[in-house]
Amino acid sequence: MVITGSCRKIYEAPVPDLQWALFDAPSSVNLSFQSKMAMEGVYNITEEDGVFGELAALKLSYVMQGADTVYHLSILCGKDVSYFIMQGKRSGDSILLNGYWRKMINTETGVARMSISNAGGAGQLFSTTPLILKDSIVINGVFGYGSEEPVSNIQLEYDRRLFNGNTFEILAHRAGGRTSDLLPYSENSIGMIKFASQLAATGIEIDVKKTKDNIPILYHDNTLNTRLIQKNGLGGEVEKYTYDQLFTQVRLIDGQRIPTLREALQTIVYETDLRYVWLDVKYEASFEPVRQLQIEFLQKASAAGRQIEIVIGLPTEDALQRFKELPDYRSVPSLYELDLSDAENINARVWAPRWTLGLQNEEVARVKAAGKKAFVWTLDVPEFVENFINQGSFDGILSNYPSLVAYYYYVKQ
Amino acid sequence: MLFINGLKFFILLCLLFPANVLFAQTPVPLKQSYLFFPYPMDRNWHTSLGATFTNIPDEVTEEARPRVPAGDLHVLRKINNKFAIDGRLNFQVIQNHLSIGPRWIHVINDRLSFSVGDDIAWWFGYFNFSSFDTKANGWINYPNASLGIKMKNQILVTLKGEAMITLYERSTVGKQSIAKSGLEWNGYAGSIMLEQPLYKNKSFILGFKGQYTNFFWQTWPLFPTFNKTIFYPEVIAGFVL
Repeated sequence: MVITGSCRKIYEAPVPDLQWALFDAPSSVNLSFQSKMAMEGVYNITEEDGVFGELAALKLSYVMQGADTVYHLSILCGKDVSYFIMQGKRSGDSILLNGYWRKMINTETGVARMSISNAGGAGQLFSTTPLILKDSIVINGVFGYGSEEPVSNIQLEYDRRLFNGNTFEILAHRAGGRTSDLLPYSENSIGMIKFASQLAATGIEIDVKKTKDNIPILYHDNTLNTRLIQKNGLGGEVEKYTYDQLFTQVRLIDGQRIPTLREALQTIVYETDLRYVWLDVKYEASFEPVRQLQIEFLQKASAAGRQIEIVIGLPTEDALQRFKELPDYRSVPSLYELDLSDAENINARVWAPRWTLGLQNEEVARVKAAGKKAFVWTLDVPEFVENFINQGSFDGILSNYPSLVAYYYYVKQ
Repeated sequence: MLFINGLKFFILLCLLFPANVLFAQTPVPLKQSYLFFPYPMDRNWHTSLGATFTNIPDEVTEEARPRVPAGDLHVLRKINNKFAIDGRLNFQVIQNHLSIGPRWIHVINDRLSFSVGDDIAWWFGYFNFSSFDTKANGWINYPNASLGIKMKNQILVTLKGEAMITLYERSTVGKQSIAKSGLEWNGYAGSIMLEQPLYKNKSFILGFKGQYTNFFWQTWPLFPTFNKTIFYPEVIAGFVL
């Protein structure tokens, strides 16, 4: 029986090689922002094996890479929490989409190559004022499994615009997902922060610890352990290490460094289109260092013309007491996870109960009536995500599967 | 691989059982009681009380490492020399697992015997405190086979293999419920059990069970979503009453 342990499958879902000669050819040029924006919408999927379900939501996002803006077209599907992440180019009178797909409930992934012909709507998408109607865009393509050449056919036909109700926050847990979700980046890392928009997140939740020398960093667990970092002989509480020690000796599972909160906020404000930041403060000391960074980056975001909310998350009653030690705490943007009346007492901008309490429509209505927001965490079960979006009234959902939350939100009618 | 090969051997053994029947011997009643050992019962009831200790891996629990044993009440009811009914209750109060199923027993020779069975289990859990208003229940089918080896010193060794097939699952959060039905392969388990007399006709049970499954009933409050088979080691200890 002990031998059984050694039979354990190694789980990984690497991003496949995305080289495509036609897409990489000099004749393929960047697609205009307008064309990409016009492609956003809900599409009907035609694919004989039903690998991705019947509907998809196509959403545009961007991330800054140096002075360049890189756009991604994410195709969000309902079945098995699947998604495609594509980039677009113009090739003659057609549009090419190149990327990969992934299913979050398992390790399935593969290459995807698609195109929109002139007759399939590319002409309309190239126009300065695209008129997009039902069936006016037809995306044809192929997808494959793992590193295999893509040969399975898939077709997407434009059906309608994305649902656009009141502002709804699609919040990615630990900046995008857990390390165990086998995304291309480690949880709570700079890479994951930049990746979150590709999963259709509008905001992120990040975990804040502090080092021995009081520098707020992004890290979830109390200890250095091989769930989160590469094996290096170090262990014990993360707060017993100085930032220099962590910087020089510790690497996250994907090889990145543990980022400081300053680096994270810098990235969010200047390199992503994220608009909501939930700082889940997990250390047991003064909130002052986090509060100072919150003030600084709210000002920087405003100066950069970005409308970003940064809230200090309070997960426990102990955190609530320490939060109250901040001067004028009632004016500090905060999020409280426990009792609603406590959230009201500290004038929290957001009340965020655990999802396992159910829809709580009456309490949510009370929060909204006071001009505040209600989020729910951390909801991953697909059927419940659908229920919370269609039958609940929360202003946002925190999930390890932001692409799924986005799917159910955008395909609403 | 050793485990898989063992399971294949076991299935082969089951397929070949008609040949064994030809060479079957009249069983000699055992003086001691047993719950896992596949052997004809000399009394109508065998009962044991103990506990199971399951290690739920970090990849499921992350930092939280629950180490709560489950109570284990195990009952065997004799039908005749060939058949028995196996019933078992694992309880942690807020989540419990009740199984029952027939067991067909065959003695090969003085040392070896085996059984095949098929258990149906109902598990249910109820969390309604702090930030939880959840409950869940489900049905699981466990086709199983056991090989018994009678050792010297009255030690009874049982090697058991079982498959795990989910039949139904229902979760409720607040007033929202979701349900899934239909056969779904969960995984498999193998165990080695030792049963040894302690005093008079009372016996002690000690065993190890390795479960390789994508759903373990004690993890339902975590609402796991990743379709991943995970190894759950379990130690079983009990007294035959």
